[in-house]
Amino acid sequence: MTQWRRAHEALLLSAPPALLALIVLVPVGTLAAELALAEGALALMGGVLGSAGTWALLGASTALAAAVTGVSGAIGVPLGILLGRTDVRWRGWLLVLHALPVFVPPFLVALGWFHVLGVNGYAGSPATARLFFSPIGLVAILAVTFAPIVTTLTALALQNVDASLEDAARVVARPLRVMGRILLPAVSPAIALGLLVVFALAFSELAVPMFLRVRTYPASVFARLGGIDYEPGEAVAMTLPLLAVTFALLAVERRFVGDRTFAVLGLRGRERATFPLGRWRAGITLMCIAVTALSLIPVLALFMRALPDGLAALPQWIRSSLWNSLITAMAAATTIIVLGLAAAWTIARGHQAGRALDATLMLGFLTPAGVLGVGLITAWNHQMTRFIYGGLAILVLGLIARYAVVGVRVMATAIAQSPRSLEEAAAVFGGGRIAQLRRIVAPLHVRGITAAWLLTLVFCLRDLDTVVLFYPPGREPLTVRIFTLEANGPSDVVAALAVTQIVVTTALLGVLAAAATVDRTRTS
Amino acid sequence: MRSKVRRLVVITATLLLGVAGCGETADEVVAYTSVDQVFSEPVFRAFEEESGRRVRSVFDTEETKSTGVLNRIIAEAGAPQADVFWSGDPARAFVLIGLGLVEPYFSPNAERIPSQFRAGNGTWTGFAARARVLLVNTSLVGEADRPQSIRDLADPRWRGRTAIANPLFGTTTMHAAALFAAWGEDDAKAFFNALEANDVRIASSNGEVKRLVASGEVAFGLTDTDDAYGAIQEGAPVGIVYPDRDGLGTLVMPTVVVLLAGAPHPETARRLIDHLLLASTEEKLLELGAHIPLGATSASSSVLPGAEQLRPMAVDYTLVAREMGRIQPWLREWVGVR
Amino acid sequence: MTPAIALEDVWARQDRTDILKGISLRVVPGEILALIGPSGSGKTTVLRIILGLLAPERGVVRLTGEPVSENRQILVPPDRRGLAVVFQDLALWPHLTVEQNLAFGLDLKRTPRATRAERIHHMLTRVGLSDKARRFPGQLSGGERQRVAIARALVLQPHAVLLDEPLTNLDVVLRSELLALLRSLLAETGATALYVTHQIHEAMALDARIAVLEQGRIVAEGVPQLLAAMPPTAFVRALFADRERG
Repeated sequence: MTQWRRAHEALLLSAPPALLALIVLVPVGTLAAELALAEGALALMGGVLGSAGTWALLGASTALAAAVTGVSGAIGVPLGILLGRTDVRWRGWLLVLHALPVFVPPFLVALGWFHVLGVNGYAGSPATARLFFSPIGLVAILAVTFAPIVTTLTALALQNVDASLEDAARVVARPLRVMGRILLPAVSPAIALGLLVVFALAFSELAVPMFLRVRTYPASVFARLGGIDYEPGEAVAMTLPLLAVTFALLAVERRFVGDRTFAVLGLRGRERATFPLGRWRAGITLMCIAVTALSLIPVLALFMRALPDGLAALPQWIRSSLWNSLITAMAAATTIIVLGLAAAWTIARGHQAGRALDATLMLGFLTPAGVLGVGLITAWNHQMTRFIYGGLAILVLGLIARYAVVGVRVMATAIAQSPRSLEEAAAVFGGGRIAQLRRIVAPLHVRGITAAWLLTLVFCLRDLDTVVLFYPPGREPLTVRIFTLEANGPSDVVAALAVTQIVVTTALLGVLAAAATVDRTRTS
Repeated sequence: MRSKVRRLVVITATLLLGVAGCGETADEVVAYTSVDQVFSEPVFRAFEEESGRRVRSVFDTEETKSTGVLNRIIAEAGAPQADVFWSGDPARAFVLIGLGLVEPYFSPNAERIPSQFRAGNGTWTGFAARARVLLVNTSLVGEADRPQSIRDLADPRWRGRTAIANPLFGTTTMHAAALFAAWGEDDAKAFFNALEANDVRIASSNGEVKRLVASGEVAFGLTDTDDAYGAIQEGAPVGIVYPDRDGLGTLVMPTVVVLLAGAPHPETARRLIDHLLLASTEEKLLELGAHIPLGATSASSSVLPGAEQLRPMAVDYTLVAREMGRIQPWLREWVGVR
Repeated sequence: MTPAIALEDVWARQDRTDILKGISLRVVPGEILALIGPSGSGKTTVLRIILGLLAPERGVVRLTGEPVSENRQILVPPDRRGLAVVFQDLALWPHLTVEQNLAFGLDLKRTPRATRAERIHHMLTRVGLSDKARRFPGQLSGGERQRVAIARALVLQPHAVLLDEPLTNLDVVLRSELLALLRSLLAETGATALYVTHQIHEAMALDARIAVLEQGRIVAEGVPQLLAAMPPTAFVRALFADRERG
């Protein structure tokens, strides 16, 4: 009886995470198999990989992504310090506003900037337009869009550094020293995570380089699959270096980030003593406002463009896209949370299986969106799985594969904050693993789990790159609709659709913020 | 305890199946198109109203072509999802024909289209076309000085004051291929080298050519009718010239519709194709996006000034499609050296 | 008599170092054994092995004669060992009220509702918290939380209760008060107890037999008077010296 109960419990606990891992591994694995088994695969690969052009483009794309990462770090780390731990005025609000672009598709940010810097833009001239439609424009726009990832992680980690560690240092050193020698090294895993995420997002970005007509490697893989450059064998061979990049990123992540972020990334966001800026305060506040403005300008430009005709025409153009976005994002986020809770628990407690799962989910996130998309088509477009591929379910599967790591990591981070003894006590007092999960871990971390759900939801909502390749006919999410209408569509309507996306996302983030500030008496 | 767990499993399964349930129904047709959504969607809506059947569509755009519906059709060939592919240009349709992914269909409504723009074997039918035109800034170029041929782009008189879009992308690729097919290798290369020598501006897209002309940065440029029409609508000081009336003729690029092999809803698909080839559809596309009707219509072509002067270039679209692939490496080099 | 808890040549490893090097211990039913040792001597590891949260590298753990862990294997999982624990950090579940904290184990053991309520009420009265049953742990004082943790362990009427330095961080007055309470509670329930501490006077206040753990080995075992008379190591000598000074 006990034996049976154990087996039953083990199955119930391991099946959901296994399912989650499977959703990630099926598309990646299918594509890899396709790659290996394709006819004349070796010759094609030799041709593609032997060509200098391939490597030049890969090098250029890597350099672009590295430049985006560098600029994001240069903006995000100092700003994270300033907004996280100094007495800059209105720093809470500045951080929230600065972070806004992360939660909308980068393509919309680019569109907003286009209304500012394009030839006919609010501040446009042929010169600004030329700069905009260039690699420099690409780096600038992606860096401004993704920098808040670094800012937020830096600020959050700085607020979570062990107080005694900091106090001990402050007794003997000046604030600047404490920051440089103690605090920054302590939060370096969080900064590394931020930079890595920025690199991955910048490297797999499809829409913005296409909009700005900058050639990048992932984009040209798809050029090989569509239109004039059509050569599917080459496209498959060209994904090989991308898989190599993916695994390299994963290795970097394992080496420098891994589960080290759990120690520094709490969700509590304790308020800490700030480092006073003294007479520099006004100036630095002004500087922070200027950087934050960079986040708001494109959004404002979209609003202005949308008024008044675009908003009026909205009902006619939006069709079911907002609904498609919301229902699929909710289904994906809910599935990730439900299937991922047990996974997050094992990851938080550092079990071997948890680590393997974490790496698998990270693989899904780091794999360039296009590669994942082609993998999903290859894996799911069969007569037998038509009910999945033909409907919104394929979007849900795609979003889960890409963003499971977001929800699971956030939950794991929350769970890692509570002492293990809470679960061990439950074990001793008669609770099996499921009872511990259900009666201790889950209710204890309701807030963290809610936050994870909302954050995952927002990531799913903002996705364009993954779903654009396989969205079911007639059921496109809002981001896709904006993207396909952009060419020759009425620009005020496109702007209005973009504004809708931003407003919905902001509303959800508002809920997230409210959830994060509900009374903390119970968990203190 | 187990009942709770089971409830969670049920919730998850319901959510997944719920979204799966939003799948297909019998009374519908799946159309993939690379005609801009802003033009194609109203046409699909009209069909829905007329037939009572639903059109589920996947859109693609000129500027973002590489994420491509073409890519999807090929990737999905094992278990086809789409019934109809309505291509913004002939080239993409020919890629599918070359791969054997197209099913012949002789629509009764195709009769109204001149035979030059449709296949004898029923594999493809062209309609609602765009043309490659010279967009001229009328404040910079007097009536008498207006260019009449694409060769004027290479005329030293306009040195550094003309523009074309990057020939590696979009319709400009097709135009280049048509010139290679019509003039032969040597003449075509000589023409492109002359363009280079004449400092022609290479814009990132046809839309960019329009902006350059409208703002007066260049005197005139080569672009598509839909972009030219956009400039006129915006009130820019521009005029349209249909080039080479006396010689080669103007390149006309019909949008092309094909029935896909293994279409899941072949019956409705044929009805949609019939609808696309109606005179009223061509009229609608003329109105919406200045697409030139290829069959007889009752509409006046006042939307596009001067369209009645258009003399189409004689083109073997199959040959042009083949040329497009062949000249790619040379074009890449040509763009690269600049 | 069959010992309530028995460890036979138990070894434990962590990060390639031996934490426990062949420990043997017996605790007879109704007895209180105090396990004393300096920091890092492996006290908590012994406790976790007995609880079944950790498998021994080698050796056998028996509860009332039955092997429950053996050579890297946990034969009986923690929740089936009939034990109760008070952790050093108390591990009170912050999202449950005092009452619910006590009810957790009873609930999982399918104790009838009436019995459960009665036992909880009795236990809370006994530790003087009957008026705080509906409070959350976050709303209690340090001493009150300690009482909840002890009550939560004893309300289950376990075969044996394991306590891991439960009284650290409390002031002297509160500590002796709680020790007295604990001693009488243990006497009432007749539970076997293993009390881990590094304070000799706590062991003496509980009238416990003492086992001294140093660097993974039991270096001495016996009643306090005997150990004081013939301290086998410097640590034991220091323990009693402290006691005399304090």
